[in-house]
Amino acid sequence: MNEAPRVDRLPVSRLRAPALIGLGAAAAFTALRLRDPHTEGSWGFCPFLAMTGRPCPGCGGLRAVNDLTHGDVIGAISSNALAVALVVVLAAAWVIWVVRALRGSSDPMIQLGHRTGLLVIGLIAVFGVVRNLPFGTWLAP
Amino acid sequence: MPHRPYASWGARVGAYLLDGVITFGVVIIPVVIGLIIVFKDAEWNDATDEIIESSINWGGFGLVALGGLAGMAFTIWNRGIRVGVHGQSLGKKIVGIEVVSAESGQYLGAGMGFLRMILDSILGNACFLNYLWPLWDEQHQTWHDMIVKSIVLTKP
Repeated sequence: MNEAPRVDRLPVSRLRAPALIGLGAAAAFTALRLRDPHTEGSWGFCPFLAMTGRPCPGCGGLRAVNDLTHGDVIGAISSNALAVALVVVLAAAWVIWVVRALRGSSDPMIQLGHRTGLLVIGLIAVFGVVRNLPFGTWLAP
Repeated sequence: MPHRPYASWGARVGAYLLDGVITFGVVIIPVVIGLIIVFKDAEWNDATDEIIESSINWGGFGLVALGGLAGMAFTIWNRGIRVGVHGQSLGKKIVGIEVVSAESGQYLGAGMGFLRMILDSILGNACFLNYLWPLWDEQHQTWHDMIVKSIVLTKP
């Protein structure tokens, strides 16, 4: 009624991207809760697993997220430890991103330099190899 | 170093899809004509419920194969050589983005453009992360961009 215009107060445009990503993540979690990836083929088949019979670094990732929605952290880690770590890191990055946006920044959620990027790719590759070796079976889905 | 804005991820995906559509347009005509030739005189054997082999024009498959080869040649030119020489495939031209060297800001040249295309197809098939990488990379690079040291910018 008698409120002063506060158009510039809320950084609505800066919060749009974090809000969309947050909604997208919530939708993905809901979908993975409702359609259980533990049912074989419910979300399709991994082409790598289908061709080689061996799990790729991403195999078990959807099951891990489903386990997390049930609060089963141990089950999630035994499905795909890397996916669990990724969920934790991304969730933290998202929270930090929202805080940054509220403070006036419009930076993207994550920015990786080449060295860090290479490290991430290396980590994924090592995880993919180790879970296929005899001593790494505890990392296999 | 050029100081133009990086191409958005959406624009790059759009260009990729457009190149796919254009290539499909190149391939589909000889393939359809070839298949029409193959089956135009085909007769059905009602007794065995099979096609009569002698009624098939096998020569038509030559045109089908030619369509596949044309698609490969077109892709090498469009997504390899053209990107190297002019910075743009046809899809990139439509959305208004171009590939330049991260170091000199110049076009890559035909050879590096071709290498970039080959690496693109290998890395893209090996792992979908390659195509998501520009979303969080400092210089908005895919893995094949990093190897040939290219960046994708908006074209003014």
